[in-house]
Formats: sequence, C-alpha cells, structure tokens
Amino acid sequence: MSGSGGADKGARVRNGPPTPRVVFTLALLGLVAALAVMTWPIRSTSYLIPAFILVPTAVLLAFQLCRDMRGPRTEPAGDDAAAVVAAFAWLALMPVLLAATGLVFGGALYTLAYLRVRNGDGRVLSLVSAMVVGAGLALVAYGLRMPQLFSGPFG
Amino acid sequence: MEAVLQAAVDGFWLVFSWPNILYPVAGTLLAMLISLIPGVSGVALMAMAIPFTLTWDPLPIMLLFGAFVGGATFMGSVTAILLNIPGKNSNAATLIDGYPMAQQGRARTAIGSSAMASALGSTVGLLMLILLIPFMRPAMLWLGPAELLMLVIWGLTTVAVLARGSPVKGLAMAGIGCLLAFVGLDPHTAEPRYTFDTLFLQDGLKLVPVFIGIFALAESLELAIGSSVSISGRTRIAELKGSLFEGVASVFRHFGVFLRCSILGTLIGMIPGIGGTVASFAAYGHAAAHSKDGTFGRGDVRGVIAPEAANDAKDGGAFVPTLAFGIPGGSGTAMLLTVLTLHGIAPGRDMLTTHADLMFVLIWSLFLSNWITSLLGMACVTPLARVTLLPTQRLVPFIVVIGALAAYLYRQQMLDVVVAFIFGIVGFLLKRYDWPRIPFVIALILTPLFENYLNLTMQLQAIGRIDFWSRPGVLLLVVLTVVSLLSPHVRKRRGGQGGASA
Repeated sequence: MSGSGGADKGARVRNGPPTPRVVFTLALLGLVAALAVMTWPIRSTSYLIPAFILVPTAVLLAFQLCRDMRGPRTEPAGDDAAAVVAAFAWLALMPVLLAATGLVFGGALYTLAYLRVRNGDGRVLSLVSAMVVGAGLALVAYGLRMPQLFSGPFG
Repeated sequence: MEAVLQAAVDGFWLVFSWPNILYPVAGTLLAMLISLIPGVSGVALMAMAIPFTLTWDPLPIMLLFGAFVGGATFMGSVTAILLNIPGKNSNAATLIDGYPMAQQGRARTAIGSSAMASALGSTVGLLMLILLIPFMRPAMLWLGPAELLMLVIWGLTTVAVLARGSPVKGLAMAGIGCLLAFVGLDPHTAEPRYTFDTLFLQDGLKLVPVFIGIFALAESLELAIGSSVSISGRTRIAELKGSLFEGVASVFRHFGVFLRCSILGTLIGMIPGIGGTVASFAAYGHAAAHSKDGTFGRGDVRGVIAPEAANDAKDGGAFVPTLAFGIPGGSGTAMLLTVLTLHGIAPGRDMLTTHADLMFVLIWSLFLSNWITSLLGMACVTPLARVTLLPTQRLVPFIVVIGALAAYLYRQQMLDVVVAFIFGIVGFLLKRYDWPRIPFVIALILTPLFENYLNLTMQLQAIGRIDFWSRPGVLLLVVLTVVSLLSPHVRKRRGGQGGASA
C-alpha cells in the first residue's frame, strides 16, 4: 500500500540510544496523551466517544512502543538526517513564501528558487518554469474567475 | 414502467440530436479542464455557470449541468495515479494502487483501467437508476439513522481488513484518525473539542488539505530525498510497461470486482450525505477483502478499478434521492437541485411524471459526459504517462505548488495550506516508519458520520421511536458486517494468503 512499505528494503540494524522509529512512536503516543488531557475538561456528553476511542488507541501505541524498543532497532536505509532536514526546510519555505508574497508570486518564486538553488538547473530553465507556474496560477486566479487568491500582506 | 421507458427513449433522442448534443460536449470539456486543477471540483464550475444560465430554457440547462456532474469525476484520478495528488477526496482511494502502478512504469495500464471502469461504472449506475425509479420511495424510506449507523460501521470494518499487514499499527492509526476527526465543534452539543481555542479549528480538520498533505506533499518529500531519476524510474516512453489495451482489458478480466463495486457505489450514492469518498473507499476495502493474494496496495489493477467504478456509479445513485425527494446525495447534486429550483422544476412527484423526459435528458447527458471524459482520457494516455518520465527533482516544486494551490482553493484559507504542509511531514514520517496511512484516512472520513448517526439513533431509541434490534435493515447490515470481518479469515484458512498490507 502506498501508506507503507518502501522503508523495509535495505533496513539497517542499530544499537544504542532510541532510534528515530522509537521516537516517532513516542511522539504519536504523546499526541494521544495530549488529546486525553484535552478531553478531560470537556463537559456534557461530547467527551464520551473520544474517550471511548482514546483508551484502546493509547494501549495499542504503548504496545507498539514496547515492540519497537525490544525488537531489532531497524532504520530505513539511506536515512540521511541532513537530507531529510533539508527537504523539510525546502517544503517549509513554500508556506513562508506564500504568506509573504501571495499565491501567484509565491508559487513562481518557490519554483525558481527550488530549480535554481536546490537543483542547480540553468537560469533559463528555472526562469521559464517559474513564469509558467506564475502564469498558471494567475490564470486560475483571474482568468477562471476563481475566488480571489491570497495576495500576501503587500498585495 | 412503460411510461418510464418511453420517457427514457424521448430523453435519449433529445440529448443525441443536433444541436442539443453540443451542450453536453462543451460542458464535459469545460468540466474536464477545470477538474484537472486538484481541489477544484465540478461544483465550482456549476456555481460559476449559474448566473450565465439564468435566462436559459430548462432543456439546455439539463444538458449542460448533467455534463458538469459527469465531466468532473474522472480527471481527478489522473493526477492521483500520476502524481499521488487526489484531484478530489473521492479519488484518494485510487492512488493507493494507482500511484504504485505509475512507479512501476504501468501508468498507461492504470489510466486505461481507470477510464474504462469510470465509463462502465457510470453506465451501471445509470441503468440501476432507471430500474430503481419505480421503487425509489420505499427504498428511501427503508433507510433510517439506525441503518445508516450500521452502514458506517460496515465501512469502518474495512480498516480491520486493510490493517492485516500490521494490525497493531493499522488499528492505532485508525484510532488517531478517529480522534482527529473530532477536532471542531460537536455537531450535537456545539461544544468545542481539541480546537486550542482557535476559530479555524472550530470548523474541524478538512479532508482536502489533509489528503493533499498526507499523500502528495509526503510524496514530494520522498522524491526530493530519494535518488530515483523519475517517478517510474525510467527515462524513455519505450521503457514503460503496460498499455492502454491492458488497462481496458483488465476491467473485463476482473468483471466481478468491477460489477460488485459499481453496484456498491450506486447504493452508497443513493444515501444522502455519504458521498463519493465513502463509496470509493468502501469499494476498495471490499475488493481488498475479497482478494486471495496480498498485492493490494502494491500496484494491483483491481485497486484502481474498484474505487473508480464505485466513484462514477455513485452519480447515478445520487440522482435517486435528488430527483425523487429533492434531497441531494452530494455537493454536485445539491448544486443541481439549486439550478432546478431556480428554473421552477420541483423535484419529487412532478419530476418523475410531468418532467420525466427532462429527468432522462439529465441522465443521458451524465452518461454521455462520462463516456467522453473516459474516451478522451484513453486518447491522451501516452502523453499523460510521460509525466512519470520527467526528472524527479524538477517535478518536486510543481507538486508542492499544485498541492498548496489545491489546499488553498478548497475554501480560500491560508491556514489550510499550513495544515496540508504539517500533514505532508507527518505523512512522510508515517511512510518512512511503516505506519499505514489508509486506516487513518478511512477513520477520518467515517468518524463524523458514525458519531452523527450514533447520536441520532440513541436519541430515537431513547424516546421509543425505533427499536434498533428489530429493524430488518439493521439485522441485514449486522450480518454483512460480521461476514465482511470473517470472510478474509475463512478464505485464508481455505488456502489463500489474504489481503492488503496497509
């Protein structure tokens, strides 16, 4: 399924401190714990169904955490932390650009920056791609009379 | 029945006569174009077209709006298969197997099977609609909150089926999906839950940004980090496997799956407020549950045929409550109802008798548009498949921009874009550490319905209006739920390996 797999191939085994896999399971358990805390002050009957689901979910996550900690500490092969962080940073740049310059310019700027700076593509290719993206977004925004796109604080 | 058949023939000739046929053709092309932008549905096009068509006669209105409903359904699956971006919520089930097929270089087969399943599925839906017209009223009255509750529970059992690869993780993800579905105001008590005292979250987490994030943006991260040259890992069209013919033929090879899922889609479409997303996921779950091999989720063509057939068949089903009672089955039919009312055509008894020919104009127009979109999709299969040959690193910014646009266009809120990006990172991590995403998605879709029908049923039971366990519909659905839970285990014991690894 697209929802899984991929990471199994070429997994490598580690020993020592908690692996990212364990940390991730712990984070999911933390999320459920936070939701449990937020369920507490809910009055009336609104808490009943969430509470009914919280308990088994927490038990299942705790069980999985034990399995992750006791089993072989496998991590996906090629799990280069720097590459992952860089990819996250590039992804996070998009909403930042959108918030700063609006959807049309933000989309075009992101394409230009990604192709030119991250990929190291040629100036012409990057510029043309950015212009195509900008034109496409402008067409959606104005040509098709879509609801107004976010134009940023200066738009 | 004779009058119905006569009206069907009259409607057919009205649609397929010159120049009337121009309306559905133009409407279909417009709807296809619009629906290529992920997040924009045929509903947006209908809303835009209403002011321009206010002075028109009812006949061209029916021709055009029928085509809008049908034309926008198929194209969302193309972006789902090629880029892992579901064009609409209802296409999210298609990407589970469609995108892995594209990664294996079988995009042409996936698009071919999707197009054929869509066209034939809509035909089954419309045939069922014609057959069901005389029985509409008793069929609709049979469905109460208790039956709908059991139907949703039946849908939720697909989680158990899809989680067989890693049951603990699958069920835990379903639990988290349920919990996040509670974000927002309780629909019965209006009490805020998990909203962090923000106005934005009072409306709940919307499916479009979550789907965009968890599938498309997560995939863009995977592509950015990975070393694959292209989505299919190939650079030349000649290196691609599969063909359009193989895709079309696969629908006939798996005709049983196709037919069952089309009927399921039509029946779910008949239920107001349930919609295409539930129909496509229920069909996918049904097909996965009845498979003997463990290939679902890894590029099994049945995983494309099942949701696409159900998704298009549900349009026929959705017309049943719309035309018979004026109750829209989904957002598309709600818009259609608005248009009908604006032109003085009241759904209900009048629609089935006085305006029966107009009703069939609408039905045939929908039929024609479904076939046009599918045939055009088949004609463009090779150029579309070339997307899977594009260099991965150059594709990433486009996927990110399209994802952000789709998340924003849903309801023009920048915070939806932020939600999509957060779920993009979450989806990437889930995939990386083998946490299945599909049970999460199914739980997110079905939990609000479950809670709503549970509350209604309990209230009706409390005041003595219904007796839950004495309703034949409930008992039938309980049996179906138990059978669907047990049948994979029975099959496994008989020698098959069983199902999907979500």
